[in-house]
Amino acid sequence: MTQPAIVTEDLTRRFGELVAVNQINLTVDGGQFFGFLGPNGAGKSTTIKMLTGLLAPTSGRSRILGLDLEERPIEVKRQIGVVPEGLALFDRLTGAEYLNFVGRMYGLDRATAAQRTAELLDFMQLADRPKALLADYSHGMQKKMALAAAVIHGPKILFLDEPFEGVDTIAAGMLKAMLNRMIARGATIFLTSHVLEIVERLCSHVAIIHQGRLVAQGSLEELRAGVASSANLGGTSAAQIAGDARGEKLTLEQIFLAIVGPEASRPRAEEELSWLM
Amino acid sequence: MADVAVAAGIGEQVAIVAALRWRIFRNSLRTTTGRLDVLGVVLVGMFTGLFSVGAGLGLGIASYFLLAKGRLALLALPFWAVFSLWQFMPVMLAAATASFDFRNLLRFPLRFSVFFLLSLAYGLFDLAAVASLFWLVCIATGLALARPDLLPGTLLTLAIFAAMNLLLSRAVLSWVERLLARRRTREAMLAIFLLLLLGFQLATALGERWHQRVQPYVVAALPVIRLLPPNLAGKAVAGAAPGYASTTAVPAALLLGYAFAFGLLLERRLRAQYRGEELSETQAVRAVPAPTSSASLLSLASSFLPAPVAAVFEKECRYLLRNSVMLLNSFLPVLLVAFFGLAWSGPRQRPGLFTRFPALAFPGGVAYVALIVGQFVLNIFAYDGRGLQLWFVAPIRFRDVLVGKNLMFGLLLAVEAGLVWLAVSLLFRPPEAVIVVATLAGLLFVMLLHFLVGNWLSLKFPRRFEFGKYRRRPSGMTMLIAFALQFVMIATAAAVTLLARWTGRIWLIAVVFFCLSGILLGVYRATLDRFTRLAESQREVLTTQLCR
Repeated sequence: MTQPAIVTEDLTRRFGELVAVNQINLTVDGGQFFGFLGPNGAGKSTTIKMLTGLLAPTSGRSRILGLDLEERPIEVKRQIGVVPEGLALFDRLTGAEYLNFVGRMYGLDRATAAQRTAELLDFMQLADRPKALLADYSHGMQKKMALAAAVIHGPKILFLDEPFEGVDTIAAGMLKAMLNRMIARGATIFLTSHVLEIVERLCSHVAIIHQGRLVAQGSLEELRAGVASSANLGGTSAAQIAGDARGEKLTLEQIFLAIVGPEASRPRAEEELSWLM
Repeated sequence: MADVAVAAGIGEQVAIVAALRWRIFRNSLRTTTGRLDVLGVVLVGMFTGLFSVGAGLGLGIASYFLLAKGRLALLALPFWAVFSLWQFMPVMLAAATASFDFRNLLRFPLRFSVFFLLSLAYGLFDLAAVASLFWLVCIATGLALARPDLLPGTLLTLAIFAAMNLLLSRAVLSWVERLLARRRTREAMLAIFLLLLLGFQLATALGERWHQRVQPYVVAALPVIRLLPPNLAGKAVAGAAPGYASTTAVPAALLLGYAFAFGLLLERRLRAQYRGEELSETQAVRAVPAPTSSASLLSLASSFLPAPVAAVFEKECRYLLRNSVMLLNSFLPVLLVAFFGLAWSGPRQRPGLFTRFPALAFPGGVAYVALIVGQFVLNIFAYDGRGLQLWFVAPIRFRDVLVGKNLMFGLLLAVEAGLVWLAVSLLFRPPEAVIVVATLAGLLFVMLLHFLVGNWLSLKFPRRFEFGKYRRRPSGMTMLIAFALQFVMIATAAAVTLLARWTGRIWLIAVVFFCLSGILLGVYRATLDRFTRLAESQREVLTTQLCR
């Protein structure tokens, strides 16, 4: 039996009075394309920051590839790649300089870093502006560059926070193909995205966080089954959504709304915001 | 059609923005860092305020005596002092000013008149403007005490003079910022600035060499100088005094004309901003020099370092070479040392400090270099921006980041010390070996002290600086501690020098500083792991401050 790629135990993060992430217990097996979903402010980015060393948890632990992140951060970081929320680019470097720099920060020798830089720039179709600084890249190009930097050392786990936001359709297709190839070779990908269609198409397993708590976790089929059984037991929102599906397979969006949406998807009264056109 | 029936008036809009600034300030006090920042600003303000108060009182007294004794032709001098402070200090320092960019407000339905007024109000809260206004009040008081009957005319002149200064400073700064926003114009500005310095120096040298020939041209230029604003202000005040040839009206009207012209200049600049001018660097992309030659040099320089330290060191060198503002600030001291040297070593030598005491030239120049470069060491993550997150997600120890950054500044100081040595050797004479060794030992001490304090300050009170933007303000606590640091360094240098003089052994300076440096190096190494832990605990503060 292979060890899980990511395990969290009662992982909690408080910001003063606010509990952004509340005792979540998450297990992601190796080789999974894992989608981490939740409404705005649910705690997705906070969780990803804690799993990648960008933020210290208030309590709880996380183990990455069997290693405790707090105790052995360097070993963990060597095996993971991250595209964080703010992209973490040094935008006064050129693309090649930045990738070379990141490669060396992850321990690659100069020759390997240079070779992989050239390959990645070519693959990401960023090689035609060798003198341009990252500050002069479009948002989509910066996203591609951040992804290239996250994979330059061949990580076993890739954490992606909204990787497809602002990326054009052609580039998104190319990136998805690259990510699927990584999965086929045994890597684990932990992805957050608001675009549920993408998550549904790419991810085999999903967890949903709501108001800091983990409210669902499993394969898509397991979540569908969970929503269906909840409908059979008379859960109002779940029953309504299951009814809307009229016997067809529930989409991830319907599952998501059934689990976190009873409040959010409630039809609002006509008189609310009546001054809007 | 939106439901907004009546657009907000100018007063209301200004009040709304003022309330916004107040709320931002009040909310900044919620955190300990924010409160310490304000405390630092207040204390630094008190220190600089002491100088301003002293100089202001001096100007007031001088104005009183000039008017009371009838030295009316010299009444322009206090106004030149105010003019110089108000116009040159913000451009030269461009620091210690509010960092709120009111252009962010342009997405709201703000009237241009409000935008213009806000720009002026912004300028009024500049430290130089506040000090200048205080000086003007002192001058007004001095003049009023000397001749109470001239008070109405004096107040009118001072009001016009203040308005002219405010409009000019805003216009100049907004144009400077525009020019510095793009890489190409930044390089051009740098070149012009250096040429101006050279030109000034050349003019001085020529003046000294061909004194007789140049004199008629200087005399011919005097009428032009008489038409400059400070002279006009002095003339307008003096004009009211009986028996003086001129009247108040003409110079005051000319002063008003200046204010109007500068107002138009500012209006043109702000109008462009109001229309949504974009000052990004996109158009200058192709101007970036190819990195190949510098890359190989950097690789060579860092080949003996551990990989992460070398990577950080190389990145820092690239950032320095691309940041014209930082580069200019870093190398300006060397240039100024060279220029002062030229001025004091010409064919008609004036009794300059370094001419009389050439042994002081090298230590003096190096101290000046350390003073200027040292300010960057106290906020080493300032230009990292969002890239800062990489220091936390990469499999490196944070101490490697600190060492890489410190090494770059160490190299910069070493290069500049070498340049100062070259300048002093060419302009005066090569400094004695004992002086060189003592100075380098002192520099090592100062550098290590800066690294030690700077690493801590950078982690505790980080402040983001915009790349290529001239205006930047470190945290208040950083400014305060920088003052204290300078005091400690000067006191230590004075004590060690006195000890050497007392014992008659100059070499003792080097020995003492090497010993102190050895101790500091030990402390520096010991603190690197502590600072690594501090960085871990400061992750949120750092990302909040720098990744916005």
